[in-house]
Amino acid sequence: MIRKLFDIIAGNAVPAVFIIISAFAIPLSGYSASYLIQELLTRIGRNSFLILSLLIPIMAGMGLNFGMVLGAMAGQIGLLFICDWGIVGIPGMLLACLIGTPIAIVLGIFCGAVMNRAKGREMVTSYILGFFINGVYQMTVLYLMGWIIPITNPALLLSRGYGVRNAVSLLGIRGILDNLIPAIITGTQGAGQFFSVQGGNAFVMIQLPFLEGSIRIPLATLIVIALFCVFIVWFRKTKLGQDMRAIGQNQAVADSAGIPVNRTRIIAIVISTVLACYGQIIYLQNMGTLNTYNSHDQAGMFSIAALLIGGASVSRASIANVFVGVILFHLMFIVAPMAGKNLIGEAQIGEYFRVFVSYGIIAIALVLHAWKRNREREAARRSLRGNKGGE
Amino acid sequence: MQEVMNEYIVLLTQYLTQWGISPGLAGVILAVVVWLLLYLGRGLGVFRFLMRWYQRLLLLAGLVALGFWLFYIGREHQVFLDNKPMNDYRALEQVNVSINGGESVEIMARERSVKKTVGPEFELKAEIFDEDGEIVDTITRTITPKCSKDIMINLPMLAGGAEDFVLPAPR
Repeated sequence: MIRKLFDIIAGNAVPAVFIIISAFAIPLSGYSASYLIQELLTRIGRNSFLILSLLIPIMAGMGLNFGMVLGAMAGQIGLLFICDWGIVGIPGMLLACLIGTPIAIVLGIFCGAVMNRAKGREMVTSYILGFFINGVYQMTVLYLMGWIIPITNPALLLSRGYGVRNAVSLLGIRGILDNLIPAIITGTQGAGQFFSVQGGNAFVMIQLPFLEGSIRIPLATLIVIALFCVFIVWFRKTKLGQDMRAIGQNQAVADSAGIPVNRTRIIAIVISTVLACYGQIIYLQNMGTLNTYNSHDQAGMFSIAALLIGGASVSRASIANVFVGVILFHLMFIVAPMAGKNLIGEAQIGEYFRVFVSYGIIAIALVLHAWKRNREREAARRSLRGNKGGE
Repeated sequence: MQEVMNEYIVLLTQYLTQWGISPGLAGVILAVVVWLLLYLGRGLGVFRFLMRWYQRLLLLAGLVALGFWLFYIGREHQVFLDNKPMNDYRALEQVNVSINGGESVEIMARERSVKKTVGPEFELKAEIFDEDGEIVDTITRTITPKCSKDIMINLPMLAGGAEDFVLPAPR
C-alpha cells in the first residue's frame, strides 16, 4: 500500500512540484486571468508541435530525441530560402516545409543510423550529434550560402557578400498560421450571445461574460496541432506503430518476432526529425524573427524540459503529458519574473529561480527514471530467483 | 539536337492544342496511361519493380510541381511606380495609383513610389489628374510579373498607351 502510494507520488512528482510553485507564483505575479490565458494559448500554439514530435522516438524505446534540433535546422534552411525568394503567406510556409522535408529526412536517416550503433545510449548520442550537425549547419549558412548556394537578397547576406545575417526578419510569414482563422474570446457583456460568426471572413467570436478584456486564439495552429494528435493516435494503431511499441518494450523479443528493429528505429527518428522541422517553422512563424545561428539551439532542450515537466519519462510519454508540460513550463516562464519582482523587487531573481527549477527538474526527472528502472530490474531479478519478499 | 527537340515540342503543343488538350493535361493523361500499363502487367516481377519506382517518381514530380506552384502563387513583388519622363512621354502632373483595390498612393511629377503585391498578377488602377486637380483619365490594367521578383511601371508610358510600360526594377 505504502509502496503503491510512493509509486504514484514518484510518478507525478515533477508536475506536482510545478503545480505547487505555480499556485504560489500566480497570485504574486499579479497578472490577470485573461493575460495568462492569452500568453498560454500563444505558447501552446507555438511549442506544442515541437514537443509532440518527441513522442514517436519514445514509443520506439529511443528515449528523448535530442536530435530533433537537426529537424529544426532543416526547417530554418527552408525559411532562409523562402526569405531569399520573397515567398510570403501560407504558400511561403508550405514551401519552407517542402524544402525542409528532404533535408530533415536525410538528417533523420543519418541520426537513426548513428543511434543504431549506440543502442542504449541514444540520448547522449543524439545530444552530441546535434552539436556536430550544428557545426555543419553553421558552415553551410555562414560560408556556403551566398557563395556556392545562391542567396541574392542583400537583406539576408552579410556585408562581405556571403553568409547569412544573424537576425532574419520573417515579416512575410509572421503570425500567418496563427491569424489564418481570426478567433477571439471576449468579455463583452450583455449580448447574451456566446458564439457568433461575423461577416464573410469566418471571424469566430466567443463571448464569456465573466472574462475581462479579450483573448486572441491561434485557431488554425491549434487545429494543426489537433490533427497531429489524431495522427499520433492513428499511428500507434498501425502496423509500424505496433512494431515501434514492440521494439520499445523489448528489442530482442521484437527482433525474434521478425520486426526489422534497426529499420524501424531509423523510421521513428526520421518521422520525429521531419515533424520537428515543421514544428520549428510553426514556432518561428509565431516569433516573426529567425535567429539564424541560435534559434534551433534551445528547441530540443525546451521541448524535452516541457515534456518531462508534463509527467513524461524517458520511456513513457503521452499526448496529455505534452499539453500539461507546455502549460506548466510556460506558466513558469510568464509568472516567475514578475513574481520575483513583486516578492524581492528584482525580476531577474524570479528568472534565475525559473531557470534553476526548470532545468533542475530535468535532472530530477532523469535521475528518478534511472532509479525507477534500476528498481524494476532489481525486482525482475528477485522474481526470477523466486524471492518476492526482499533479500 | 536542342533545336530539333524545341521544334518537336512546339509541334506537339500545337497538335495537342488543336484537340483542346493543354500540355499539363497531356502530361496527366500520359502518367495515367503508363500507370495503367504497369498495373495491367503487375503479374510480372519486373513490372512490379517498375511500378514501385514509377509511383515514387510520380510522387516526386508531384512534390516538385507543388513547390513550383507555391513559388508562383506566393511570390511577393515590389512594384516601383515611376512618374518620370521616358522616351517621348512627359511626366504626369499627378497620378493616384492603387493595386488590387488597396489604398491609393499619390505620385507627383518626377516622383517614384513603391508598392508590394503577392501573386502572379495584380490589378493596377491609375487615376490621372490635370493641373486643376481634376481626374482626366482612369486606367485599369491587369499586370503579370510572373516569376520576376520586382518590376517598374512607367506611368507616363502607361497613360500614353505604350505597350512596353513594364520595365526592369532599378537596382
